[in-house]
Amino acid sequence: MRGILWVSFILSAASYMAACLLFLTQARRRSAVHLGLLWAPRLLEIGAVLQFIYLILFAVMDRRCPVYSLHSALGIVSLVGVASYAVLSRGRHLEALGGFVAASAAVFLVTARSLAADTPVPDQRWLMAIHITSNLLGGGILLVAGCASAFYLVNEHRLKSRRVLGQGPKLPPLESLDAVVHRLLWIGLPLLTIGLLTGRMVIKHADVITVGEKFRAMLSGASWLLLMAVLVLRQAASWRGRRPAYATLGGALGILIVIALYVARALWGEGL
Amino acid sequence: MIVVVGLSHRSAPVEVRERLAVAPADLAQRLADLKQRTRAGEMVMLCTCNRVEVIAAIEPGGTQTPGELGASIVDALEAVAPKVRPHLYVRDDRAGIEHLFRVASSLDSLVVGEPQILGQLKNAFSCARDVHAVGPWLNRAFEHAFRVAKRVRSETALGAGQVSIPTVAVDLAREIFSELAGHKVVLVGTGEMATLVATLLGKAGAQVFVVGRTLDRAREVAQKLGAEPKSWEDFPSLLALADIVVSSTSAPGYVVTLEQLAQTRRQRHGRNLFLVDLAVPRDVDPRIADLDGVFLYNVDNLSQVADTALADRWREAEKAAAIVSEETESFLRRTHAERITPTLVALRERFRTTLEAELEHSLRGQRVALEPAQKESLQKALGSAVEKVLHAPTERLREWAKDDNFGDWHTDLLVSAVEELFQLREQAAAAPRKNERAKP
Repeated sequence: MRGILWVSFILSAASYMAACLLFLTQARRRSAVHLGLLWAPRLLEIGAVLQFIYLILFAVMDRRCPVYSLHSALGIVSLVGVASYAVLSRGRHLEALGGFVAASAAVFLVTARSLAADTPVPDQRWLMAIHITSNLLGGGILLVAGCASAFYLVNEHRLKSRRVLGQGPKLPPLESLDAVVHRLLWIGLPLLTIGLLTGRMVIKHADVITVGEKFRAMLSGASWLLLMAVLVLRQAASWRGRRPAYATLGGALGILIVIALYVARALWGEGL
Repeated sequence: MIVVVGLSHRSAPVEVRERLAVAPADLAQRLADLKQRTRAGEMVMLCTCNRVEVIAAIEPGGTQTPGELGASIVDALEAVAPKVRPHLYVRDDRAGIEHLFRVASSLDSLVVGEPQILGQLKNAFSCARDVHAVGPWLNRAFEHAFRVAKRVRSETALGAGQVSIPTVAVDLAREIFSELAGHKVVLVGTGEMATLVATLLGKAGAQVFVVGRTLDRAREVAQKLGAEPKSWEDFPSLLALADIVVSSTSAPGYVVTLEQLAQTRRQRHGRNLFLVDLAVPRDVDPRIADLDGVFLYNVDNLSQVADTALADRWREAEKAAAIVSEETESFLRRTHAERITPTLVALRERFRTTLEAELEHSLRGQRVALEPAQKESLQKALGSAVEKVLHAPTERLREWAKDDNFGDWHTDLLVSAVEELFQLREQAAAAPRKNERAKP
């Protein structure tokens, strides 16, 4: 089983990297049809399937629920990101974003491999399971929304400035990115909300709360507020374009910092 | 051996090109006439607005040289359109093949990298095949040319970017809106270029409205575009609905003002607006470009994008030319190697039949009667011996034929020498005909 675990890990990372290369090659070419357009999404999907197999095998061998292992958790975040992209990118010419998603998935996969998987199983198992799962799913989805917003800002700047057009890679169309971000927010934000509420309940019952945990909770709350404001203002006041893209990117960066802090805690100690 | 005779935008002005041009309906007849008059073995005629070319191959076993075939095609074209001779170019052997590959790859086009030429070349080839004017030589050359064009498209960015103002505008609209179907376009004024932009946007599925100073003029243009005519009074409400505004009026002041657009912003619900201002003096207040979600391009901005794309294409053309050159070499090497194949087949046949005859004669002399199984086994052994004896000379001959340092004359010399040494003339003449029939 260990052999299959390694093979699925290596093949998954290789598929992600190959998908990333093909996506970026396709984005670099401004002509219509290329092999990358056909194979990059397939390789991304193959990578995701292999990563799924890897995570299942890892959980079986580790004899613990994946949500209690930071190693598996990071894997789930990248898997959710890839799945969100695969579903929402169909027919939208989001090749450059695909390259970024594939690269992120590969980085998450490889980084997770180097982490210890010995997070202790907490007392409130079910509450923690819901908290971690919803945070992972919501976090993965909102990170993709952040990526899409970053692409929106770059392409909007290119189109506004007019001087750089016709050069560099072909970035995804603005309206496609806007639509993708909006849908991702609708899916990711409720999950993050559940994650925050359950997190609040977990902290309430905890004996000791570290400074790191307080900071993470505050940052998660601020990110949630920012993203919720984007969603509400879009519905209420047709808030679209550059400003919501900046706000979404800010919210996603907050979530990324929270994930990075979890990773740092796993690497350098509980105090963080 | 392939010969290309023709004229193009590089060698002849349009007044000359139009005299040789043939309507698609008459192309088959013109091709048949030319083929008969020039005694070419195979022939394809390519006729576009920028070039008229005859691509021909010598009849198998014929005595015509490439120079003679080229001269007879020039004479035939001169007969069709007098005084065209000084504008015609003749390319044969390597130059002919390379020219065909360059044309297919759009390296020889007026707008380098334009994609239409490949379709036109395929149509010309298909037309020639329909009238049975294509044989193994042109079949092989054209199939290879199509592969070269595909390789150039996939390995270089020769066809990337848009190089005309209307197509640049449509490309930009796609960068903002992705799919244009269902988006609303307002054409203000009836300038030629703006109308062309609106036509392209309409073809891409956008809903087009035409606004003119008078409703009659708007109706006239709208009818041509399959669009909806609107009066000038409707323009403010259309501005609230529009995704793309293409403007080209001769108005002395701004037609789309900052104040006008600010009034519609609430109704627009934050949707992006792409403004294409093709008028001089400008129709759109330039301060509008600072608004969030508004993308304003005037004629200079669009020209700049087109020029950049064209410059990029010229850079890519160098890479494409290297691919064409490499493919020409590869095609010629393979062709030379294939030219020696009938001679090698005849040589093997000669050895085999001679040995079989000798064996038959010897057995009959000794009054030995072999069982059918024994006879078959003996024939197999003979066949194997022939293969072994001829293996080294066959390989050597193939290598020599492929040698880049020699040209066609070298392959011809080898073929002649082997045929002369082993008296293969009759067999070699029969073998290629058999070979050619087998090919599509």
